[in-house]
Order: sequence, then C-alpha cells, then structure tokens
Amino acid sequence: MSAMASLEAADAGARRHAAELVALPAESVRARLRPWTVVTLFAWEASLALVVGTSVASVAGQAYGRHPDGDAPLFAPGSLALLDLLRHSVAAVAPVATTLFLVALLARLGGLLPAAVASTQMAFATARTRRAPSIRDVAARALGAVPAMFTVTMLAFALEATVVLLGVALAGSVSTWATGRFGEAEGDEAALGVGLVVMALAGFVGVGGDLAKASVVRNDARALTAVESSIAALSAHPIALPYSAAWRGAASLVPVALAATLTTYLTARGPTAMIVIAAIHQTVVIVRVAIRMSWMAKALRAVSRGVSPSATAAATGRPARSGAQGAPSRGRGA
Amino acid sequence: MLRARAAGAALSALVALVVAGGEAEPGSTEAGLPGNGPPVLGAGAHMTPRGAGALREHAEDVVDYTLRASLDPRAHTVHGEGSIRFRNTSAVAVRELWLHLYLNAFKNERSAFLREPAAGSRGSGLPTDWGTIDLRALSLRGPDGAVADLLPALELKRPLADGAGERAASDEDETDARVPLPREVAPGDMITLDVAWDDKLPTVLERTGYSGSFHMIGQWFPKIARLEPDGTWAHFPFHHLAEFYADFGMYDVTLDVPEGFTIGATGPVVEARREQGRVIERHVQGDIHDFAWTAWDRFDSREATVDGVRVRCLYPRGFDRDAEIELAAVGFALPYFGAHYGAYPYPVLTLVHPPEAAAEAGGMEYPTLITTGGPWHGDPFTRIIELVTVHELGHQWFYGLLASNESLWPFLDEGLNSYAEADVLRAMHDQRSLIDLPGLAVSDHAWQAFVANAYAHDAPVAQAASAFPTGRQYGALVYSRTAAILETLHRVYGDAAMTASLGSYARLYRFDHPGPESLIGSFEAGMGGDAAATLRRALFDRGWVDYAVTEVVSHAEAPARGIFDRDGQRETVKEAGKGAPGGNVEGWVLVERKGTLTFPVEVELRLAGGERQRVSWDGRGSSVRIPYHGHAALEAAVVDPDHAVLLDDDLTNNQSTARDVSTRGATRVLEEATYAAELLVEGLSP
Repeated sequence: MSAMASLEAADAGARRHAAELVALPAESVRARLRPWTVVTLFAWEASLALVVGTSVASVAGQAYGRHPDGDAPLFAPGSLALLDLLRHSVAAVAPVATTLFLVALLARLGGLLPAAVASTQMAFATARTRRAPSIRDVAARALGAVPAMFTVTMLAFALEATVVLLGVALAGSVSTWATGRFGEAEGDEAALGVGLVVMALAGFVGVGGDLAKASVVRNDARALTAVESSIAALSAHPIALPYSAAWRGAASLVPVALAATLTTYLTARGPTAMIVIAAIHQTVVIVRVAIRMSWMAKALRAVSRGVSPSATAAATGRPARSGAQGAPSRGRGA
Repeated sequence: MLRARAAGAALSALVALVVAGGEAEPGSTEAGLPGNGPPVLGAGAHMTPRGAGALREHAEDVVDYTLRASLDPRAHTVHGEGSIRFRNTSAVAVRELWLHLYLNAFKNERSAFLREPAAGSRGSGLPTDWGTIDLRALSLRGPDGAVADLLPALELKRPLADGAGERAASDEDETDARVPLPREVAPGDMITLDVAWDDKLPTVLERTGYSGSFHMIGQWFPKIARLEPDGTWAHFPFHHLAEFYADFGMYDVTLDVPEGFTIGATGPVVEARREQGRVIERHVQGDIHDFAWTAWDRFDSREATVDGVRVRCLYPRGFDRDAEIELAAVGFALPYFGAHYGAYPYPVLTLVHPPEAAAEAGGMEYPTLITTGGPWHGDPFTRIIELVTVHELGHQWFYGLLASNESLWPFLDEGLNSYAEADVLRAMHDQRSLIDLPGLAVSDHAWQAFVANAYAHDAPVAQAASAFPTGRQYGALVYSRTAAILETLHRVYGDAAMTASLGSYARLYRFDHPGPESLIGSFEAGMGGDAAATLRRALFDRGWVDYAVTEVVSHAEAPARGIFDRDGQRETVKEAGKGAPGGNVEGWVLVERKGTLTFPVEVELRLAGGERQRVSWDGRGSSVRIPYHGHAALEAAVVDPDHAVLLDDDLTNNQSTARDVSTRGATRVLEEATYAAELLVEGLSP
C-alpha cells in the first residue's frame, strides 16, 4: 500500500469518528484557549526526545551506572571522564547518531501530523458543544491536510535553501572585496551583515511557509492555493507578520538562557537537585511549545481572510453554519 | 610550533603590564623601537636571573651571522648577503660544512617536505607559488686573505646514508647541502664565509611565505647545521613534520623594506632609519640559534613591559581584541615560565599575529619572536588564542634555551612545551583552561590525555619526526602523550619533585643541546629511579597503564564455615553466621594494574553512611587485594579518585560497587540528553 493510500485509508477511518467542526472566528484562534493542545504537542516532542535521551543514557549507564557517584564524574569540571568515555564509546556513536537522525526526521516530517492536529484544534470547535475538539474529532481533517502541508514544507525548504546558498555566495564575495579594501575584520563584518540580511530573507520565506501551512488547515486549501493565501497575507502585512514571528522566536530563547543560568548556579547534584533541574528544563520546553503554538495561532488568524464558505463543510462533510465563519484578522497577539 | 582572558587582579599583581596602543611608525623611536642604543650582545646582560649564579648566562658562541636582507614585496623575493663566522667547537677536525637551505622545501613536488604525507597536519597542501633559495656566492676567506670559491663544489642533491626510503625521497631534495672545504678546520679554529643568496618566498605554507603584502620570513638564509661534539654534522633534509636544530651564536641582521611596511624581527632594534623610500632596521641578538622576521604594510602594534622584557605585539588592523588577549597571556606566562625554568634572558619579545589568510604562518616559534593566531573577534568560549600564545612563548625555553635536536627528538621541545603550556593554562583558568562554556568546562590536561591515550599503543613517543606516518599520530604522541606523561609524574610525585626534575633540567641545560638521556637523568635525580624508569618506558617503549577495581566484597563478620579442630575437638560449622547487629563488617577490594607503567595510586573505599577511607598502593604488582574491617559496610571503591594518572587507559573501570548495593545509574545523562533532544526536536518541528 502506498503512503498516500495509507493516508487516505486512515483519513476514511477517522472520518467515521469525527465530530462536526466549525471554524472559530479569527479572534478566537488562540493558543491559550487550547492548553491541552499545548500539553499534547509537548508530550509528542518529549516522547521523541526521550528516545534519544535513553539511547545516550544507556551508553553512559554501561560505564558509570555502578559508579558510587553515578554519572556525576561525567559532569566534573575539566571533563576528563567525559572525554575518556567518548573515546571508549566510539562503537556507540553510530547507533546513537542513527537514532538522532531518525528522531530528527520524524520531528521534521512526521511532526506535520501533530502540527496539523494542533492547528485544527486551535482553529475549530465542535459544532455541537462549541468546545475544543478532541484529537479524534480533528483527525480526519488533520490527516487530510498533511499531504498539502508536506508539499508546502518542501517548497519552503527549497526556497530557503536557495536563498541561503545565494546568500553564502554573496557574503563570500562581499567579504573578499571588503577584506582586500579594508581588512579581515571588516571583511568578516561585511559578510556578517550580508548573512543577517540573508537570514532575514530566509526567515521571511519560513514565515510564508508557516502561513501556507496554516491556510491548508484553516481553509482546507490545496498546496498552491495555500501558497497564494500566504502571499496575500504577507502582502497585506509585510512587516507585522515577520515581526510577530521574530519576536516569538527571540522570546523562545529567553527561557533557554534563563535555565542555563539557573542550572549553572545550581551546584548541588543530589536527587532533589536533579528533580529541580528536570522541572526547570521541562518548563522551558513547554513554554517554547506554547510560544510556537502562539505563532501557529497567529498564522491561522492571518490566513482567515481567505476562509472559503465551504471550510466547515470540507471539514465535516456537511454545510457550514454561516455564523461560524472566521473574520479577517488584524494581527493581534495570541 | 603548535599543530593548531584577560588576566584579572591577580595577574596585575604578578606583572607590570603597560599596554600602549597605536600604529607603529617604522624607523622611528615613536614606534617603540629602542633607537640607536647600544647593541645587546649577550643574554643575561639586562637582568639578574633568579637564583643568580645558578644559571648559565651565555651560550657557547659557535656561529655568528652578519647579514643584510632586502625585501621586494611585489615580487616576494629577498636578496641577502653577508658573512658567517664558524668555530669548530668539536673534538675533531672537519673538512666539510653542511648548509640547510630550507626554503627549497617549497621548490617543487620532489622535495622531501612535499613528498612526505602528513595527514592531519597543516602544510599538507601545495603552495600556489613555489619558493626557493638560490646561493649566488659562497666563499671562504683564507688566513692569508685569499678567497676560495666554494660554490662550484656545493652538493645540493645527493643520496643520504640513513635509509633507503629517505634516500629515494632525498635524491631530488635540495634542502640539505654539503660544502667540501679546501682545508681542514681544526678544533677551536674559526673560519669566515662570505655568502650571497636570493629567496623566492612561497605562498604561506607552514611557517613561512607571503599572503598579499604580508610576509613571514622564516628559514630564509643559508644556515650551517649543528656540529656535534664528536665532530659529526647533525644535518637532515627539511622533513614535513620536523623542525630545526642549530648552534648558538650572534645574529647581526640588517633588514631593508619599502617605506610603509612594519618590520618585526628576532632581537632588539639597535639602529633604525629611513633612506630613499626604504625602512632599514638593524637587529642584533646573541645567544640564539635562528632568526626570523616579518614585514607587512597593515600591521597595528601594541607594546607592554613584562618582567623587564619589552613585549611588542604586531597584529592585523581590527584584531585589537586578540592583541589584548595575547599580551595578557604573555603577562602571566612569562614570569611563570621564568620562575619554573629560569628567567627569560633576552630584552625583547615580539608577537606576530598573522592575518587569517596567512594562518599557516601562525603558531610558530623563533628566538625572541613567536607567531600566534585566531579570529579577529577573539574567542569567548575557548582559550585557543591564549593556548597558542602560551605554547609558542614556552618554546623560548623548550627550543630556544634548550636547543634540542627537534628533527631527531621532537618530543623534547614540543612535548615538554605542551606540558608547560597546560601547566600555565591550569594556573590561569584551572579546569576551564581549554573550553569554557556554560555547563561544559574542558581542561587542556583532559584534552591532552584524551588525545594521548587514543594513540598510546600506536608508536613510541621518542622517535624522529620523520618516522611518524601521519601528522595526527605525530601530534598525539609528540605533543599530547609527552605532556600527559609529564603531568602524570607531576601529579603522582608532587610539585617539589617536578621542580627538582623538569625545573632542574631546564636550568642545567640552559643554552645547551640536551638529549633524552639528559631529561631522564634529571628525573632520576629529582624523582627517583622508579619515576625515571617509568618515564623511559613511557617515552621509548609505548608504555601504558590501566588501573581497574574488579571486585568489591563486603559482609558481616561471622564465624567461618567448615571443619575446625579446636581444643582437641573437631567442630563443623555449616551455616554462615549473620553477625551480630551493629557488629563488624569485613571484606576486600581487588585492584588490578594492566600495562607496563607503574605509578603509586590511591584507592578510595566508600562505606555505608558516606564515610570514605584512602589506602595507598605502590602499584608495583599486577594486582592488590586490599582487606577491609570496619563497622560500616563497604559499598564501593575507586582507584585513583583524584585522576592523578592521566595515562590511565580506561577510566570507566576505575570503580566498582558491591553487588548488593543499589546504584544511581546515569540519571543526569538521561535528563540532560533528553532536554537537549527536546530543544532539537522543538527546533525542527514544523
């Protein structure tokens, strides 16, 4: 059975259990209104990460599992034991790296389905109760959105890669010119300037990709229609939307930095300290997931202008209620 | 040569560091040059060494060079001429001279240098512009004023006698020239040669060459090989992984570059002037065995005075941060090295930070001049810039003052110096001496041990540079393994013994050409016969060691089972007693030593309730069973808990826990790895 056939079969199965969905008004598409969606997405990502963590820990555990201090020597300043373990664990590098690669692939491509589920849960409500739909309620629509989201992801990736490659070439040329004229420091600074512009452009493309994916879910659009919707949204808000993505991106770095600082000063390494550190780290991850979902919600609102009258019908197979149609967004925060 | 923060209040207390900014003005006293002051003719003339009377003040003066050199930066050529005065200090008469013409290593692909693979080392590519040194004149002044032309008899290409492989490689090599002499030079006699030559510099390739208008000019003049005391010449082709070896003497070198270029060179400037659009500087320094210089029209410079030594840093415009780091590193390390290995005897030190395009010129040492390297913005998370600076500075001792045969015994300069480098960095940054990231601190010592132990079984440390098949193995064994060996001896036998060994070696053989036996002898005197024997095995015989705790047994003290004849009665004890509550516990720890090296080690016994006991083991046998009697249960044992033995081949077996004791597992690794993976997954998610 082909992958597409599998998706269609799963889609058909899910529809049998799907509740009737109605599109929420744009203003109501908020991450904070779907806390369980945040938790579910966090659980998905944590599960994937745990596969990697377990793989690495098994290597360390074989060597230091019976050390009276546990794996504490691996974190001792100077890293003598850590480097020694790395030297003796060369054989484990390939399986751990393979696990990491597969998890990364699963996160990037397999993550389209959880992202579709989360977006659908944020953008729609059940027609009967007007409450947050369950995963089962949105499964059919989310599954149906995955092929178009995949296409959009690939298009965005290709475009981003092109921008980056051209940018690298341009940065190299500018660097060479500036180095010859002014010096190596100035050459690197010029290249850095070009690099920042290129990163901004690539980020702009990424924002477009996110908007297109949001349109696939929100408007039940095909890939090219979603891209058109994305371009329309970006044209309408060429500053506000990238800015909205950028500040969220920057904000998601803050908890990481805070946690790094906190755990650096948390010198005790007993069981209690371990629990505190784990709690800090998981808080960081869940906050970052929430921020990302906030951006997803923003993207859903931004493309709501183009929601077709048949959006609800497409989700449920029944005519949509006219009053449930989402209103155009003005781009406020989540 | 190297394969590859600013100081605080404590540093300020150690050195008087005066940093002056501003761009150099060639040929003027404003440039920080000493102007027309008297030449500094010998080492030790400017300062009183620590432990006055203990240190030699001068080297034996064997060969003096009086040279003039003119740089054409557009053609990348140097024209040189002058005289070389050589004294036969050996015990026998000589009828020949050997000249090193190192720049011919870059003449073509048939040179020994370019034919030798050196994977993992810099300089592995080809120059995009070849380099040569062509002798134009070479004559011997006779005692009666007659001049004998030696050039026609010069032998540039010839087979070598020391190995078929080398012979094949050296047939077309032109870096090691023989010069037959028309008359015998008796022991103690002196001859004077007049010489003229032309250098064509290559694009920068390992130490020397040009990049744009930057010129690093090392190994650039016809250099007389060292004459050993037994009358043999220590001559060799320029091998890819090898460095140099020469006699001490006086260098009086006048350099001539276009106006606008800044010169950095060995020794102090004793005369500087501008003349017909040229900058002319005369550098004079005694008690040295090489001379290098640089010229560039884009240098900035800073100066500092450290321990009475005038330190000048030349660096590309915009690299101010690097200059600060390098001067601070010298500010700490120069007094440190002086205190440990004898005072720096020269009045000046020049740091040259090449542009990034000429990075292969960086990380090299010459007498009173070292080259550094690093990105213009410094390096906030690693100590690489400091490491390179400290390493090259250390060579002022382990190469400069202890002028060993670097080609034959590279570990004597690079290895000893790598130990000294890590020792200084530890003093500066403790466990954060190589990488200083939030949550990850890596020390230079740990890195050296990591690299050293990975190559422990591959080849001996003590062998000629040309005997190493790859640059990776050369770097690992010569640099890192030597350093790890010495640091292990340091940690095991202590500071005082190390000072009495390596410190004494550095002082005793100052201005000399020590070999491996000199080093081992110094360790025998300072640390004892066991340490010296261990050092010899580690250097020459691929010595290695692995300590392991293989058994930890603990149980309540109870009557033994079996048949016992007591007081004329035979008694059979069938069941092990449980021991009285709160009674004694007995047990043992089995520690094994694998390998050929022997170090005394500590074994730490971990008892229930958190108590710890330390037991010493001389490490001589292949194993030791350490008995235990006490009130608390013996739960675990760790051999070498302080990691004194950096050479320990496997740290993962250095501990063991009794079977019935619950263990902690790798919970922190699980937590940290999962968190890192979560951030990755979160970043990749659509």
